[in-house]
Amino acid sequence: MSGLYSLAALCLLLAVLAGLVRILRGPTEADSMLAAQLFGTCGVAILLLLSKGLDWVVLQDIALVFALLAALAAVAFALRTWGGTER
Amino acid sequence: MNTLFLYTMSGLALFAIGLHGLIRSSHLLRKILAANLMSSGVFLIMIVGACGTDQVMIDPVPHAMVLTGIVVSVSTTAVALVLVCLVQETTNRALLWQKRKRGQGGRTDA
Amino acid sequence: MMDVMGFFDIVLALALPWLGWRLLASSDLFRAVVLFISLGLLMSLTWVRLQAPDVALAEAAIGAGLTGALFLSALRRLERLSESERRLEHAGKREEDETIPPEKRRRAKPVAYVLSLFLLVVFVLLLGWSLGQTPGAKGGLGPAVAGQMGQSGVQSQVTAVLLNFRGYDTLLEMMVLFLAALGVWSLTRVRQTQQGEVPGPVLATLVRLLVPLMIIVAGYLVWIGSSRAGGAFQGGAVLAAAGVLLLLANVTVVRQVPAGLLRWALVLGPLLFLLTAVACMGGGGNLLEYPGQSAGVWILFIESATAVSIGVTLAALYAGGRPPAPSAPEKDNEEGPGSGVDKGGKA
Repeated sequence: MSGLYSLAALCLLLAVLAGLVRILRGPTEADSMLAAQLFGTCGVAILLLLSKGLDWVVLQDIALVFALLAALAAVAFALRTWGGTER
Repeated sequence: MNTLFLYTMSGLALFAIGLHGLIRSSHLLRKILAANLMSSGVFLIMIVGACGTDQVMIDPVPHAMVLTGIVVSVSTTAVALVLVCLVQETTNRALLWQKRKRGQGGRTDA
Repeated sequence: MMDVMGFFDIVLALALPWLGWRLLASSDLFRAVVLFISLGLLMSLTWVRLQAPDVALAEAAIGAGLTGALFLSALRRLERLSESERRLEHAGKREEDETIPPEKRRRAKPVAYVLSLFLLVVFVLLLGWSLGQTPGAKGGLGPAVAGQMGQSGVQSQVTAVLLNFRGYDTLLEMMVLFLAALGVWSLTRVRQTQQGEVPGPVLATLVRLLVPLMIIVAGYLVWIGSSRAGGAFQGGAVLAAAGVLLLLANVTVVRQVPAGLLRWALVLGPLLFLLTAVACMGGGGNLLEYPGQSAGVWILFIESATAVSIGVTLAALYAGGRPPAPSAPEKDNEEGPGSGVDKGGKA
C-alpha cells in the first residue's frame, strides 16, 4: 500500500516539474505565479502522501505550514500587479 | 549512499551556479538571488553530511546549524534588498557594471 | 517502494540545479523570483527526503513563504522607482539607451568571461574533490547528542542542540537578527501611505481567516518543538508571516501599534535570552547551563520569547525601514499620519 503512496507522490513531483514550463514561458506573470501556487498545492499533497507512506507524522506539520504560507507569495504578487494604485 | 552522493552533487552544482550568477549577473537583485542559491547549496551539502552513510543515526548538530543559517540568510537578504532599493533610489538603477546613465529599469536585463 | 522513492530522489536532485540555473538565466527578474519561490518548495521536499523535518519546516516557512514575499515586494519597489524615474526623464534621450542591445553590453569581454568561467570550474572541482576527501564521521555528533538527551530537558534532538547544547549559537543568531533589524531601521524609513487605503474584500477575508490560524500554528510549533520538529524559529517564521500578511493588507491595527511596544517586542527575545544565560552563570554554572532539572522549563520560556521576537523582527525586516516618524510625540493619537508602526509592505 505504501508503494502506491510513493508512486502518487512521484507523479505529483512530475506534475510540479511540468508546471515549471508554465513558469518559464507563461505568457503573463499571472501564469507564472499560478504555477508557483500549483507547486505549493502539490507540495502539500506530496508531503501528506509521504507522511502516510512513510508513516511519519511530522510531515503533516510541514504540510500545514506549506499550506498556510503559500498564500503569502500570492498575496504579495496580487498586490504588486493589481494592487493599490500607489504602493 | 548513492542518493546521498546525488544530493551532494546537486548541492555542489547549486553552489557553482550561484557563484557563477553572483559574478556574472549585473542586476543586484539577481546577485542576491544567486547568493541565496549558494547558501542553499551549502545547506544541502551539510545536511547530506549529517545523514552519514547509514541512515540509522542522524547527526542533529548540522541540522541545528542549517536552521540557524536559514534564519540568518533571510535576515541578510532582507538587509541586502533594502540596500538595493537605496541604490536604485540614489543612482536610478540597480545595476553594477554599466557606464550608461540612463534608465534601465529594475525589471529586465540580465 | 524503495525504487520509487529512489526515482523521486533522482528527479528532485536533478531538478534543484536545473531550477537554479533557469532562475539565474531567465531574462525576466519576476520570473526569476517566482522560480526562486518554487526552488524553496523543492528544497523543503529535499529536506524531508534527507530526514531533516526541522529544516524542512523552517524552509517551508521562510524559504517558500517569507523570502518570496520579500523579493516580490522589493521587486515592486524597484519597478515603481524606475517607473517614476522613467516618467521624469521621458523627455530625455531615452532612445539612446534603447539602441544598445543588452547582449552587446553583456559580452563585452569574452576573454574575461572565459577566464572567470575557467576559474569557477577549477574552484568547484577543487571544492568537490575536498568534499570527497573529507573524512565522513559516521554519525558525527549524533551518538554524543543522543547520550546527553536525558539532561537536555526536551525530547527533540535538534531543539536540544539549538537551545541547550549549543545555546550560544542561537543566542548569537538572535543578535544577528537584531542587528539586521537595526541595520534596516537605520537605513531607511518606511514611507508614508494614505490612511484611506482599505484592503479589498477578498484580502480582508483572507486576513481574517489566516492570521488567527497562523498565530495558533505558531504557538503549536513552539510547543511541539520540545518533542519533535518545530521550535522557536519555525514558530517565529509563521508569526512573521502573519505580520507580513497584516502589513500587506495594510490593516489599521498594524498601524496603531505604538512604536514603543514594537521596539520592546524586537528586544524581548534577545534580552530575555541574554538575561537567562547570565542568570545561569549566577547560579554557579556556565553560560547557558540551565540549573538542575529545570532545563525544559527554561527552554520553553526562552523559545516563546524568541519566537515572538523572531516574528516581529522578520516582519519588521519585511517592512523594510523604521516606522514613520510620529508627527506628534508618540502615542498621543493613532490617527496621525504616522502613529507608530511599520506601515509596512509598501514603501
